[in-house]
Amino acid sequence: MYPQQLLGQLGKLSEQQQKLQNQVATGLRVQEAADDPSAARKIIMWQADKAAIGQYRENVNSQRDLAITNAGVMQQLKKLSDRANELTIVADGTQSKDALQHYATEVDGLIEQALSLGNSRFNGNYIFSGTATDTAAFEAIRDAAGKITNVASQGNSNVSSVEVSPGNTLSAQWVGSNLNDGGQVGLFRDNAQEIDVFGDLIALRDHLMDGNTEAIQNIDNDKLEAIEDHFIRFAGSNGSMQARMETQVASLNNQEFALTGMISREGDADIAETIVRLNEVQYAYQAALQSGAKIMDRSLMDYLR
Amino acid sequence: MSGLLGTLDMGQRALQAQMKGLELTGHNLANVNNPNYSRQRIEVSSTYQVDAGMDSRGTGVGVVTIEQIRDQILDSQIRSEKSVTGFLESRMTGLDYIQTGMGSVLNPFGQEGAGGLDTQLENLVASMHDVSSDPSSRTSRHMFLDAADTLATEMRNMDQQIQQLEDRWDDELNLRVEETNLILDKVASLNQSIQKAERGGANTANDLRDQRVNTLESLSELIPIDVNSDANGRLQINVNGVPVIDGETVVSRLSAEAQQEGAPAIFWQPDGQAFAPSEGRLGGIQDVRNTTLLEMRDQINAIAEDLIQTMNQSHFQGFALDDSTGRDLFIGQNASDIQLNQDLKDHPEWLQVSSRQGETGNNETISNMINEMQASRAGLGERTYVEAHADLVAQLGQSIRSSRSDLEDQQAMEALMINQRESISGVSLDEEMTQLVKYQRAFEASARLVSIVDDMLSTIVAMGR
Repeated sequence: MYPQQLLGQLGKLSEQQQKLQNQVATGLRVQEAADDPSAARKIIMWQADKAAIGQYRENVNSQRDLAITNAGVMQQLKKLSDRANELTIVADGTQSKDALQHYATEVDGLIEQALSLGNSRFNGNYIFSGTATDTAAFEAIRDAAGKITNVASQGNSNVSSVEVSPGNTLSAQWVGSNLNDGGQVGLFRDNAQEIDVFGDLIALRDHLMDGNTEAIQNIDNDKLEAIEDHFIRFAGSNGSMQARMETQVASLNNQEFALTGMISREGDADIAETIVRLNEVQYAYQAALQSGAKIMDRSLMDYLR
Repeated sequence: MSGLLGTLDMGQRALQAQMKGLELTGHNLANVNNPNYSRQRIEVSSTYQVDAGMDSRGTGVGVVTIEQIRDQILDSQIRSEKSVTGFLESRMTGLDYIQTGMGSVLNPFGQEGAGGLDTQLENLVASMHDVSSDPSSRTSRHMFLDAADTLATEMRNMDQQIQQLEDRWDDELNLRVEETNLILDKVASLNQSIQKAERGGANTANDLRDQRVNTLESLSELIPIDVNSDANGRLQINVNGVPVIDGETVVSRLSAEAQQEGAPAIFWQPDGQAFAPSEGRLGGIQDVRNTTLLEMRDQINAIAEDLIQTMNQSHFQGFALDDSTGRDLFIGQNASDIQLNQDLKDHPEWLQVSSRQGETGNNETISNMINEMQASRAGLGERTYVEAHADLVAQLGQSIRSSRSDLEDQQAMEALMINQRESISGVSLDEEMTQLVKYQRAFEASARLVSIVDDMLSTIVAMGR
């Protein structure tokens, strides 16, 4: 009978040794759900949360790329608007007709440039067409000489936003035009704000062509200044959006760090503790073997001849 | 009569009795490692007395019987413990099988990058986010469809795994039913042999009885049995009140019948009474099959059904890049047949991501789908998909853990009883060696008696010369 008991004890001890050995080797305390069911459940949930955080960060990064693209467009728009504003100041009654027409040609260039900026693309999508990203945001209507006489807004004024934390969405997208009252403010054209970059530039060019310096000084100048302000507001909001995204990423990183710690606390083996326990079990195993051998060795047989 | 010749006879009887004792000690020693053996003792008694008037003389010793040292109550307790152990053991084996079979899909622990169902769900959500960030990108659409396809395949795999486990356990149950019937036959035939051997005599067929005790224990590992014996030692076995063995005849046998759902049902034939064992291996197999496996299938199906319905509902209303609409994302009813819509696989541009026509950059539909993926589902008891999966894993883990500790406790309990029996019925080397010495010395003494009587007879014979 004794050998059976000894075998049972040795079996148990060697099973424990194997388990601890495995924990030391892998560094994981929870290797299967049965090791600690409630920890297993927590780990799965936290791992899902961690994966979600990684995804949120990617979402923020995709919007950050868009915001950087927007900032690039804005830089050029700002230059364009500066030059147009300069021209409204330079083009006064003292200028010759030739000089005014020369300026008009320059404004034509600015209009073309604005059009091309309005139809900027990012990842193959028109960035100022709202959610109609496969449609160019603006289409020029030209006269026989190829000059732009009008620019039609296409696309829409809806933006698509992405989730950056549970229930929180964010969008760095700008819309090119908003012909309604209210909603997303249009960058090039906005009814509520009375902004029409193309219309005002075309008017400036036409006034320059006609030598109507009075209109330039009295009307175009104000309008282009309003556009300048409008652009500055956009640039500002883009800056604060980027700052918000930085904060968001930092907060996601913190959460991820905390979750990693929590997962490790529940699921990882405390190496020092595990090794100490492994040693204990090994001693117990050896002791059982030795004492077993000694006890089994003795019986009355030894004393009979 | 007595005298020298009588004394010689007495010496011879004594030698025989000590010889018997030695033989029996040898038999006991030979069976020292036989776990089913219960040690035997000879019972000796002084033989008849000779009455010679005032002087009555003993005639020595004789073997009355060989008795088996056995505790019937302990035997019956061990049988019922064996039934419980059998139940727990087969449940544990079943759960181990499940753990091994479903491990990779259920237990993502310890295997870096190994995909459990939760990983597939996470991947699907991640790829949805990518589509949402760039709704018109064909690459992200491809990736989303790949993730959805992988998830569907994984769910079908799980379903197949469960199916395989169910089949394996049905086979196991059928085999065990056959085994039970064979053991019943064996018990009946042992009963017959014992009856034959013991017929009319004072002899007890000790070794056959040992075999029967052992066979009954094997039987009680399979089903819980109730053993009664009448005054003549005729054995009757009942199982939950159904008479199964009466003496040398097997009265009822088991039969298993496959069912639409769950484990095969077991009946006692010929009277067709249903048998739902709560103990023994048969009970354990039915328990794993009808609770753990069935629940697992139900839960995986619940996740799959809800996923199919919810995703299809949102997707159906969205618009594809070419403004087409009205397609399902997944085809199928549950985990057994869930599949990604082949049309979408072939035409990623048909993935319906936008909530309005003509808006290729619109991500409202896919955003809704993301929200649905992360929301608590009424169909899953207000849990999210990941939560439902985590619960499934934790539940299985918990069953394994508690089964393991139940089994360990039970095994310890059984070992304790077997120890106790061993201390009563088992062969102790020390004791047998003592017996050996005792019989040897007694033999020597009796031999001495014979030799002295021999001397004395010689003396008498010599007197006559």
